[in-house]
Amino acid sequence: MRAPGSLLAFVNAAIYLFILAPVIVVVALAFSGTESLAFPPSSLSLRWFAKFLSQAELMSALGTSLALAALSCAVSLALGGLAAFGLARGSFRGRGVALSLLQTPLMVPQLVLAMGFLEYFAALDVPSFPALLLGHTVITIPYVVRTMVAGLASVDMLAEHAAVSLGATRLQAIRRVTLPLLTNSMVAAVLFSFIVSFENLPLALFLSDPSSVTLPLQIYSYIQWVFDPTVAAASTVQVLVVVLLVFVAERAIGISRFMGVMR
Amino acid sequence: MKLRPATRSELALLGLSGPAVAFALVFFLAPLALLLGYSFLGYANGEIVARATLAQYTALLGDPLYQRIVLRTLLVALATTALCMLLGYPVALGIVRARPSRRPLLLTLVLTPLLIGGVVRSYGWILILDERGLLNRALLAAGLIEHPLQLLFNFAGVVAAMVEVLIPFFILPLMGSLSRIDPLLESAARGLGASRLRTFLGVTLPLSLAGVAAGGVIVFSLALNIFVVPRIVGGPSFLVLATLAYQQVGEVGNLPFGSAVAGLMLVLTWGSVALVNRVLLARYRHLGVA
Amino acid sequence: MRRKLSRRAFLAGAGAAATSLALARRARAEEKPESLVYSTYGGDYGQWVKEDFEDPFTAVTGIRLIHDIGENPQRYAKLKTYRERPKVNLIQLQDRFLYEATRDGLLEEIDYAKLPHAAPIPPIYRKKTWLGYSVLSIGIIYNRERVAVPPRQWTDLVDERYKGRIFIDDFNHFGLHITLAIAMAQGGGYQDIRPGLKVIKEIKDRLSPRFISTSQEGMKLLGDGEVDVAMWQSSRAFILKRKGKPLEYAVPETGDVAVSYGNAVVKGAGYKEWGEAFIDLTADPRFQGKFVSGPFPTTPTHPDALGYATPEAAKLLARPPGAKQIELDYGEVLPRLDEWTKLWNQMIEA
Repeated sequence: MRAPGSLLAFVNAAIYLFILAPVIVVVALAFSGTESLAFPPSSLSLRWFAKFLSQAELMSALGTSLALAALSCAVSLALGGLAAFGLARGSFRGRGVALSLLQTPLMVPQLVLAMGFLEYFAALDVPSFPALLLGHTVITIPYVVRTMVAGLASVDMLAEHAAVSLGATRLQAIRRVTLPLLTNSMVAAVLFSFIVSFENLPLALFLSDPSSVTLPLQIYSYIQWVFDPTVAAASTVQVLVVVLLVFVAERAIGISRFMGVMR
Repeated sequence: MKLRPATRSELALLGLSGPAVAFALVFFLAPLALLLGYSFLGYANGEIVARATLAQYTALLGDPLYQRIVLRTLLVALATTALCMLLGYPVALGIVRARPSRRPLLLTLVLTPLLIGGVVRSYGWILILDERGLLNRALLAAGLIEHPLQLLFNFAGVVAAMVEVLIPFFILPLMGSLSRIDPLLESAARGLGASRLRTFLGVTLPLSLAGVAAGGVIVFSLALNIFVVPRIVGGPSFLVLATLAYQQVGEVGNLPFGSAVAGLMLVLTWGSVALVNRVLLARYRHLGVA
Repeated sequence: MRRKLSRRAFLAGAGAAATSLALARRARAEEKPESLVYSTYGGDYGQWVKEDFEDPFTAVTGIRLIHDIGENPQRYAKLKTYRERPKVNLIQLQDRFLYEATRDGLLEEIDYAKLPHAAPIPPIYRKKTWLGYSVLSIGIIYNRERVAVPPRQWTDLVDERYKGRIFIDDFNHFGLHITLAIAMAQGGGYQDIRPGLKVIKEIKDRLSPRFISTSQEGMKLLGDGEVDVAMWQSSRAFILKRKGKPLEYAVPETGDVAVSYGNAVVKGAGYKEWGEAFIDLTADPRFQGKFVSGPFPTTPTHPDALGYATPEAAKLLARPPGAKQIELDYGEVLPRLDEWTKLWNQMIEA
């Protein structure tokens, strides 16, 4: 079906504008020539980027956040992805409970959960960065499980069965047939877990120590005291870093090719 | 003989879920239980009273102030979820149907709001929705309104800011489902004389319901539990359960009451999701919805 | 920025040289650590404290202070959780949290015999377990171009002229201090906060005030001239005044409220004497004078410190003669905070 293209495009343009409105405001402020947060800025400059880039704590926090996001994303994709297979395909007793359990972290206010983590990880003597990693994995697994279970639910089992009956082993069938059909859901799962971890503040508020200060925590601390667009510049850099990663990933593995499966 | 392979593969599938479930038990359920344990303790004169009681829950559920906050929280979450579905569906459809070369750009645009931290993004909304903000100035200049609209610190402002940040969580899972719908099905429907609307309602929408449900559940859960948006865009006079929970735990220091609020939030979210799953399962099980 | 940094660093070095002799003379029973972990604020404030107090300390002792950053509630929560195996040696907190940490037995008693600079500091800032270095005042801020007669008491703000042009800090920030001060002025107090809440409710019902939840909002509203009056903290008014905004800080006749910030040595974390040496340095009027002349003007706790401040800062921070100041007793506040928060929630939601 060809959608009523022009209407869809028009409606979507309006929705994109809404989604991006605060982003546009923040990015514009990052280029402000004055200290004021008035919008639109009265003059333009790069001074706030210079200020951000000259602050060693912010830069090292950026590194911590990227490492944390990459690691927790990998762990939750491994754990959550396997679980999604089991849960989407299985009909064993306890399946429903397991599925609910893996989604429950979304249903608890994180600032309060973070206090539970603080006490628990202190009792187990888990150091700060591993504690953050475990916490971030807990809060990103639900995205992986939910998107992958939904993805698997709509993958036609017939294709896999056909491959098996044509002589492929089960694993081959999954690797060659099912996984390619799932890439869309996997890309969504990866993007969500990476981003959710990268921008998470509540857990860092309670679990960080001098060795593990994240960028959201630095930005949040910064914003308590100073009234200038440096934070807008920091946020713009944050956006650019992730956008850059998406495009590198696109070059390397071709997200768009994955997204084009069946089309 | 027939049962054995089935059981064996069931066991294998159970085994696949094992690590994640064990992980969640040890690193999520245990700390959560530790925390919720406090909600069954007393609190008096600024100190925790170590005696088992349901006092926190009766205080929470019995007070008109808190009942009002519960109702408001649910309404905000429902409105946010509904709007995310309404606005997110065409966007997801647009991305899936766009030329493959344009998809990464569109996807990035959808995800961008998530890349700016919640605090900064909420300030962005204040600059837009404020009485002297961008939107009011534009509307005044265009002569569409005579007096600035009150858009902040109320239901409308909070829902708008929530939809903006949560909509990607609806769009991505939905894209997953939409992109797997065989285009042949839709062209077959059209070829058989169905209108575009009928094709959409009869083919596209039902086949994407798994994605709608997945995204909807994520958005609803997050909308009930998100803290930063109601705190900044809602302000101190628009309390929801998440801001109440933090006020109690972080600022007052009343951990028992704050954990009870968190416990209630868990029950509310869990209950709503279970209800939705039940309804969806009954009607659409064959589509693999829940 | 860079130029300012180097000038400040130079001054710090000069000051440090002056005290180095005193510090070095004292015998040290403890072995000297390479570094101490300091629980402090992040952002620029953390940097200002570092430049004016930590850098001189490092210059003299060679001990680096490593920051564990965060806001008061989280840093206090971490301190409490790790009470058996402390992860930080030194901590700076707001007075309320220092009170709580003391009550919970998380802080060492300071041996004031080893803190020569602390002696002149008034007892309200020289506690058994912590020593204040800086004081914020919570009172009335007004725009002198739009408010002809400076407000003299809290109730002066209940005036139709300020309709839509007033903000009040959130209860969980400094709204608590404001409400209590008004209650005290209206014949109430710790026993009865309702007279304070009644005035705030009247403002809420008649003047549609803005209740702010972050300092950024307050700075924007005052800086862009969107409000004429506010119940808020002095320092923010001074920052804006320095930038040429027509703002003044007024102390109500019944007194504004002091909120002090102090340092403490964490119990069981070790290196108590080095921690005390740092705290002594924060009591040195020269360093305090320099700190309060910096970008975040607060009142120093040492009575001589303003003599070492820049003339501009000394003028900015000078309190009107006879101005009263209220020191809250957190032993009275904390047991009631829960109930008061509920009353506030009811008032604001009504």
